[in-house]
Formats: sequence, structure tokens, C-alpha cells
Amino acid sequence: MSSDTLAISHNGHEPSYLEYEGKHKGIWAWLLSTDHKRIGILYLIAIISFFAVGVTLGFLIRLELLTPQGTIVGPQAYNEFFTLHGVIMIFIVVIPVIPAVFGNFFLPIMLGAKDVAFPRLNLLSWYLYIIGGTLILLSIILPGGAADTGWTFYIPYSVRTGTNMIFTLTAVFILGFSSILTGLNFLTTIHRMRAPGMGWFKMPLFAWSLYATAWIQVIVTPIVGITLLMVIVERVFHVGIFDPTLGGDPLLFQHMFWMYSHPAVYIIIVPAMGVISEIIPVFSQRTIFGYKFIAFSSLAIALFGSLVWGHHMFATGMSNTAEFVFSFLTFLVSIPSAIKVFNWTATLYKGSIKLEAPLLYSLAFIFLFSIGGLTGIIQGALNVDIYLTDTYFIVGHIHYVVFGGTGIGLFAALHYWLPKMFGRMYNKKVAKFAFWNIFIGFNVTYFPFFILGWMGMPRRSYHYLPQFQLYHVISTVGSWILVIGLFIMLFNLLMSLVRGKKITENNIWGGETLEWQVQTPPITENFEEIPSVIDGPYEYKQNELTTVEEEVN
Amino acid sequence: MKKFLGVVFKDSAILLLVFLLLIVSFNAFASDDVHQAEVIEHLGKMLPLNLTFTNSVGKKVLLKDLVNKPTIIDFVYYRCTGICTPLMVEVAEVIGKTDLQPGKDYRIISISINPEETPKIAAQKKNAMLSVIGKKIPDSSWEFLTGDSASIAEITNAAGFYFQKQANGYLHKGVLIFIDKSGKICEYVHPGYTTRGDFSILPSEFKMAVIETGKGAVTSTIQKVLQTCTNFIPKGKDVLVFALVFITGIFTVTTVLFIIKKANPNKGNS
Repeated sequence: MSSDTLAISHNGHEPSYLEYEGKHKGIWAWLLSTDHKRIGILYLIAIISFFAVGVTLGFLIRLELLTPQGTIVGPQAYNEFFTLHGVIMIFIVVIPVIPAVFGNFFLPIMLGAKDVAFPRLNLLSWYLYIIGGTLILLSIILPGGAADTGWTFYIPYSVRTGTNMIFTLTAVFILGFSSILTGLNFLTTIHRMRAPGMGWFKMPLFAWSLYATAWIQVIVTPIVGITLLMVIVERVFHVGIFDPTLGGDPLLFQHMFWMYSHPAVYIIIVPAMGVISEIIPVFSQRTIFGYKFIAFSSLAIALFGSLVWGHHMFATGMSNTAEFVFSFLTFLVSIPSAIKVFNWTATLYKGSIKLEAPLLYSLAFIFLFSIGGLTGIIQGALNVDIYLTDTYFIVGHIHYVVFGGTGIGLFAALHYWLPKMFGRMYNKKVAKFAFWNIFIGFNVTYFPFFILGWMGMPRRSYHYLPQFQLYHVISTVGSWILVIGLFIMLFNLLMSLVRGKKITENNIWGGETLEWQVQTPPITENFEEIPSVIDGPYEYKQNELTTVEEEVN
Repeated sequence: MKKFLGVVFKDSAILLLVFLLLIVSFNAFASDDVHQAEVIEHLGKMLPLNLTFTNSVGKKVLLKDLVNKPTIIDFVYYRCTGICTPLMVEVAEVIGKTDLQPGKDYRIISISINPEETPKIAAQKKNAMLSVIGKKIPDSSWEFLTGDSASIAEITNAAGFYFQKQANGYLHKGVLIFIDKSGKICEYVHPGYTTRGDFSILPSEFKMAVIETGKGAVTSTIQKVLQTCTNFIPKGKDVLVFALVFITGIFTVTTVLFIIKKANPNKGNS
């Protein structure tokens, strides 16, 4: 993707978005900024902070499970720990992270736009996010204690428990609004603000993945909003919607909850797949294999993924027909995911591969996500799922998909785009060292979960039978390696912002998408002149040919 | 305003006092004889072990001598036509399903709450139950005791196991009480039900309770909470709720399409 106007403009010394001075000064220049890039950075800071809280909780959970009969906390504290870990990691970290940080920052640049469609709405959605996050933190501090129901808020316990449920439910409700607004913003941006010449099939695949994600966000998030609102109503007014003692239906809650929360898994994973689709062609210097298949598979995941929620309820009571249909649809979802995996692998074939940190994380993504996806199929099978329901197998599966997928995808994105965002390069050796730490730590921590689950270890239990201890010890030791790796990685990235080597060139990795054609770090409105797009986003070979032709001419 | 607030405060203080007195008096009243058939958990309390019962061969035994390892107390009566036999059968099946050794790792003591039952009746029950277990177990690892009404009352009260005599038997609950060798109550396991209406005790839960009781750890109860939802047909606000979701969905999509179509982003930004 090239444009002559751009080639000239980036030689000028426009102040970057980091140096830009608007009407507000100091901290307000950030907190009141409607620049999509600054909002992206605001999200990044907030999300990484919450991520640190989530990691700490996860670390403590693993520490507790080191011995069979309780190590550091009692049952009540343990219930609050795993609930908070789930709520923070799911609703505050992985659901928003890639769209809110990298989507906000790069989507307009990739499309050749100056900003998102509704910049003020974008800032509002960040404030809603912060309010939601703060409410969850408040629920920990205030008397009553944090929610202890698990992140799924199952009825009837979520109506009965004396903990600060209302805070947590309201927080998730507000976070939902933030998510909807971001989705709406992206949809409008993609539909209306593409640069001249940027047809639908010239959009980078990251934009396609955000497009599919945004539709899921906008359509299904209101469902969880209403549902959680009804739980609050049930708690306060005892209407009898869900609570069986009042004539309500607890299964109704499960349907409503998973109607959002299963598609939410795709809100979580699809943007990460978009990131991988960007990184693989750049680091193998090859045109992506099957562009349209990858683009449409995102939409297919969004469509099928919204129709499979029942597979969370095989053991809680549904008609045989419903169970059969949900199981069948679940198997169908694996097809578009597999298409992506095969196309990424095919892209690497005969490419000139540069094994930098972003590619390492992307390869780890493919490996870990494949394990997560395949174990998902095991649970999608009706009869096996009856046996595996509520065991550690499920916990292993969700961590391979959500952490191995989106978490690792996030790290890939950080290593790929952070130098562009701040104009400084991290220490590449340390980055690779941290990668191996994380990769090994991850597998040592979470792979034993599959074995434990197969042996019958129930999830959400602070104590267990001594026969499970060996695998719990291995897992806990793994969590230490993992946490050390995460610490080194984040420290390395953070230090790069202060001491990293300054980058002056625009195209750090040799990418073809528009964000690599603009100044590093980008200027406030991204482009001095809106570019005209001629080629598709990954046409490496063709570019080489045109250069040769130009030289001949 | 200050005066008003003062009055409100004083009034509410009096109200609160009256309320508290009422609660206290109700409780005093309640603790007399209102216990019907229920289990009030006395977790962490001690069971009196200086009581003498008669075993199934007619020998007098002191509880203290039997409770020398993690012990599961099971209050039943042997001629019960209700839940006692299904509960004991489930216990027998769990013994066969776990890899713990009865007699070595734990002991089970069934105590009849009917003072009129004899060791002979107990022996018949014992034979029946031992035949249910898939494997041979030491004779003393599951005791079937009978005793006088005073001993029965003392131990059941201490365990929080309250029952009532009726015309044709007793009104009572079914629960397994795990005590350690000092007699401390460590855990109550309330059996669940299968869809066929049988009792079900999870072997893993049983094993865990034995192991933790062996360490003297007191564990709170979960099963009782889980039982609330069985055999239940909701009254049906489902249609209403789904309609609400459907309408919201349509509304959302229409709004989004409208915004995408009508938005004038380029103008707003430049």
C-alpha cells in the first residue's frame, strides 16, 4: 500500500501526538483529549494496571492450591479471589484490551482516517470503563466483601450471597456500555471513514476482525446488561424472575448470561486473531494466504459464535434436541477458526522469516490457541462434556483460549506496535528471554489442568484430595515462572519508553499497511493529507515488482 | 432541624430496642422445643463420648473406645420405612467406591434414635448392609448401635440432630456427621438426590471429608445449599424476559444501522 503524497510528507517534522499541545495543559491534555491515539494510551495504562491486579490474584490462587487442605486463605476468601480474578480478567482486561488499545490507536490510521467517527463518545467510553473498574475495586474495599459467586454470577447464589454483588453487577453493566460505545464507534468508522480507494477488501485484516467484533459487541452486550439489571432487581425487590423460591427460573439466567458470555469469548479472541493476521505476513514478508477466507471467517465466527451458548449448559438441564443442536453448532464454529490457523501456517511457508519477538508471540498464539480450540471440541461433544463439566479441564481450556489466545496476542501486539506508538525500541534480547519464560511458564502452569480435570478435580475448590497434589504443585511452580516472565516483559517494555533506542524510520518492521507509512510516532491527525490507496494491504511480491519496473523506467 | 433529628434518633433507638427484645424473646421461646426435624450444625463443637451403647452382638460399648480414628456418625433407626435404608445403602456403596480402607482410615457408626430397638434388629440390618458393599470390610468398621433414650437424646442434641416421635415412627433428616478422634464435629455431609430420587453421596466428597477430619479440620457445608433447586417447575416469566431481549436486540440493530447511515463523521472531525 503506497501513496506518493505520504512518501514526501513524513520527511517533515510535524510534532507527534505525544508532543502536541492543544487547549488543555498537563494531565488534562490527556484526560480530556479526544485524539484516538491518546485515548488508546489511556486505555493501555488502565488495562495494564488491572491486568497486574488480575495476575496477582491468579498468583495467590495458585499459591493457595499448593497444598491439599488450604495454604494461605480460607474458603470464603478463596471464593472472592477466583471471582475477582475472573471478573477483572474477563470483563476489564481481555474483553476490551485489543479493540480499546490497539483498535483505537491503529484502526483510523489503517483506514486512512484522521480519527474515529465519534471522538467524544470514544472518550466517554473510556470514562465509563474507569467507573466500572473503580466499582469493582470498591467492592473489594467496602464492608461485605467482593462478590463470591464466580464470574458467571449463577442464580440462586448471586441473589442470596451477602457480598457486594450489586457493585460488581453494576460495574459489569457499565463496562458493557463502554464496550457497546466502542463497537458502535468502530462500525461507523469502518463503514464511513475509509480513505479514497480503500475498498472493503483492501482493508487490513485487523480492521476486518474489529468489524466482526464490533457487531458482536453491539448486538449481544445489551443482553448481559438487561440480565444483570434483572439480577439487581431480583436482589432488591424479590420479583421472581430467576430465584426459584419466588417462582423464577434459574436456568433462564444461565441462558441469558451465556447468550452474551459465549459470544464474548469471540469478542475476546477475534481481535487477537486480527493482530496475528497482521504480524505473520510482515515477519515472513509474504502476502497473506487466503485474505478473503480470513476476513469472512471472522464474520462466520461472529455469526456461529452467537448461536452456541447452550454448550455451557449441557449438564444443567435442556431438552435432548436443544443439546444436540448446540453441540452440532459448536462443532461448526471450529471450522472458521481452523481456516485461520491453516492460512497463517500457509503464509509462513517459503516466507523469509524474521524471528523477532512479535512473530515468536504469534507462533505461540497459534500453538496455544490450537490446544485451547481442540480441547474446546472435546467439551463440545455432548457425552464427554457431562463428565468434564465443572472440572479443571474447563479451567485449562479457558486459560489456553483466553490467555494463550488473547493474552499472548496482546503481548504480540505490544511488541509489534509499541515502538511505533512511542518511537522507542525495546531490548530485543530481553524480549525474547521474557517470551521463553512466559511460554514455558504458561504450559507448566496450565497443561496440568487438563490432566487434573480428566482425573476429576473439581473447579472452584480451595481444597482437594491428596492424589491431585503432584499436578497442583507442578502448576503452582509454573505460575512462578510465568509471573517472572510477565514481570520481565512488562519491565522491558516500560524501560524502553524511557531508555529505549529512538526510532526515526517510519517502517520499523517492513509492513505494508498504512500505519507503517506515517511518521513515528504519528502526528495528531495521523496524515498531513488523506492518502489515496491503490494496492491491497499485504502485496509484498507485487511491490517488489513495481519497484523493479520503476527502476527500469 | 436538629431537634427533629434528635427526636427521630430517639424514636428509632427505642424502636430498635423493642425489636431486639422481640428477637431475643422469640429466640428464647424457640430454643425450648420448637426444633422439629432439622439439623442445626454444631461445627467445631465436641460430641460427648462417655456414653454407652450396645452393639449388634449385644455387647456394651463406650463411644470413646470406638472413636479412635475419623468417624462418621449416622443417626437412623433400623425399622425405618423412609429414608434410613436408602441412606445406609448409599453409604455402603460409597464405601465400595472409595479407595480408603474402612476400619483403618475411618469407622462408621450408625446409632438408632429409637430406644426400643434391640441388638437383634441392629444385627439384621448390619448383615443386610454389609452384603451391599462390593468388598469385604472388617466387622468393627461399621457399628450398628442401640441405646437408651437418655444417651440418644444427649448425643443427638450435641450433634444438632433434632427429630420428633410420631405415631408410626420418627420425623427426622438424613445426614452424615464426621467427627475426629477427639469427638470434634468437623463436617456435615448432606447427601444429594439423583434424578431417580435416590440418595447420592459423591465418593470424592466423602473421601475428602474423611481426610480432612483426620487432620481435625472443620469444613463448612455446601451440599445443603445445592439441594434447593431440585424438582422445580418455574412459574414462567421466561416468555416475558425473552420478549424483552428480542425487542432490545431489534432496537439495538436498528439504532446502530441508523447511526452508521446518518453519521457525518468527516464533517465533525475536520
